[in-house]
Amino acid sequence: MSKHQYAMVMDLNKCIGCQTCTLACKKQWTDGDGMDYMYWNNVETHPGAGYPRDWHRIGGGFDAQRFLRPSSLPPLEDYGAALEYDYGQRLYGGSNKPVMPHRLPDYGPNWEEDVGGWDTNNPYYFYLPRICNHCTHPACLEACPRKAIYKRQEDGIVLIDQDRCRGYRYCIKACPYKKIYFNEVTGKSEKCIFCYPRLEKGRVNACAAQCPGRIRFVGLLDDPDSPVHKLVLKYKVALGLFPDKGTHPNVYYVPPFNPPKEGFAGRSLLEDPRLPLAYLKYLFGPKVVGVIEFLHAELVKVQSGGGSEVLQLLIGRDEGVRYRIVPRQVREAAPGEVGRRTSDAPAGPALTLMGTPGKAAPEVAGHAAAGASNCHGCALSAHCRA
Amino acid sequence: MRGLALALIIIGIVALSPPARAVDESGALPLPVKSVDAATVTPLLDPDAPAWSDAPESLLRFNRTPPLYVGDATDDGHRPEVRMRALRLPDGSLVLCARWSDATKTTSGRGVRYPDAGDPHIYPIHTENTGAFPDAFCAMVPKRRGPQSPYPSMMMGEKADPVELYYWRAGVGLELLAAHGRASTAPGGTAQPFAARYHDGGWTLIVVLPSLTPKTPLCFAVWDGERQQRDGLKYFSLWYEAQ
Repeated sequence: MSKHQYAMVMDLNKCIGCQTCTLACKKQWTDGDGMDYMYWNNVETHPGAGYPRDWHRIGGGFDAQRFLRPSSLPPLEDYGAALEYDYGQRLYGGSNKPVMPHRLPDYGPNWEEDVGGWDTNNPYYFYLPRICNHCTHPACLEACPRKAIYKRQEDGIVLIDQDRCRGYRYCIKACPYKKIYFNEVTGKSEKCIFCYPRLEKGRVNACAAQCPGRIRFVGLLDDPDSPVHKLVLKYKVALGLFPDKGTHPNVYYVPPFNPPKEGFAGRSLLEDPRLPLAYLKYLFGPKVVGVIEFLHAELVKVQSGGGSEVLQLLIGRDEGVRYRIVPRQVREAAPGEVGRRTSDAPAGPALTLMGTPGKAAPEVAGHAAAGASNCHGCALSAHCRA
Repeated sequence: MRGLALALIIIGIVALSPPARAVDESGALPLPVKSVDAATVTPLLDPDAPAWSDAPESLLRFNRTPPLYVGDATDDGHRPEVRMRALRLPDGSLVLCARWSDATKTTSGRGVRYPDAGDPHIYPIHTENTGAFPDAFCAMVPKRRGPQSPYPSMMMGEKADPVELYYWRAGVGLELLAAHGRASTAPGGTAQPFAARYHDGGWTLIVVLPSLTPKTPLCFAVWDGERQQRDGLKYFSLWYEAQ
């Protein structure tokens, strides 16, 4: 058990499946040799097979007796091979052939985009963004015979020691989320690092910083002022994926509570759910019903002219609401800061906390305020400049 | 009375038992070695070199490790047929020529760049296979060599008796590793020359083990990539002694 635990909450009601997070991560971390097929952050359509194909059906995690239940090893075909286009020949080589991928694709990340499910007159789907869950009880860590995987005491981030890893891939078989990838060029396994180098500089994860839907909330789970603490532990509206896998994931989801199928004619979300509750229970466990009931009640309260702190929080108006990053050096300089409410904090030198109002990190602040010169070019850029 | 008889029988058995084995009578099997007067090792990296033609060949005994983890394949009774020849050079180096059966050549890929002539600054190397494990071979020797060398734990040695591992993987090459117990392997120095080729349903591998004086114990392991063998999931021999 780590002393602190960084966590992320993703509000699935706000994800538009634009893959900006995917590309932010790809560009930041996985554009090197052997990493072509891997997406430490991916967004997939559900219901669906996902990436890699059928990851949520093939096994991994622990059984009820806490024994590992490893899956098979997904072949490259189940991830979908990355495609290359011979631009050189087309643009400079004098070839008149159209630019075609080097092989015909037959699967890939979000291959089933917008397919989803179907019942009578009701097609339905939602997007599920996924990163490594940086589990409290990581099955990958327990499975590694080399002791190459470790969980950082200071923030709970799970990492693979690239010097110790020898590419045996027991970790991939053990991970119930299939969020570890084998790099054939290095012969080692690699995974999401929760952008720890960014966090240590007080900057939020790349996937969260770039998210135009503002679906992601980041902070320490044990920090009462962090949005993740509020959403997960105070309001209890965010749930881990596949809790029955026994790893205790630290990436949480606010489940989609779409409007009723037949409109608002006096029927509640639970009476006439657009998304089958059975599927949501499959993903998030039985507690999802209570979460939807609670959120529905909050929605009704707001629609009746009342207020709702949790819905206000979920709107996530700015990075001060969505993120609270406490770099390690800040925690070490003021060890009492985490775990103490801001209102209780003693007067003293200002701490550089991302997410503290008025102290947003430049990169993210630039998104909202700096205009075109610092714009990331996402779909919201016009909105930001406005 | 019955108790007294039993005690006498036990005393008799103990009295007639042979004395405990000395260290040099460990039960290690002999590995015949031919001495050659070669100045360099390079010509010996060819298994068809004349020096190998009359080198004594041993058929090694191999077993399979039990499944280590949930889901590991159980022993299907298959064993590779491993034949070993050994040459000793004037400097004390031992050159091993191992030939073992393996119906399927499985190598570790290094990825592929597309398009083939693509600019490396634009096109990264692709991972082509996420589920393959390479065929592999390893010779393990104690770090402390010679007739008085210990017999370390077969599980990669131990703290008091570390080992050196000459570990070859198809498609990767030969690594020299050091270990002092399970999960302790680390780079152990500069790898020695080697040659490997797959033909006629098996691998032939030639490796050079420096400073392997007579009576130094050594043991071997073979991994069949097709059977997803890696790590401790392998075929292994008990100790041999180079003569």
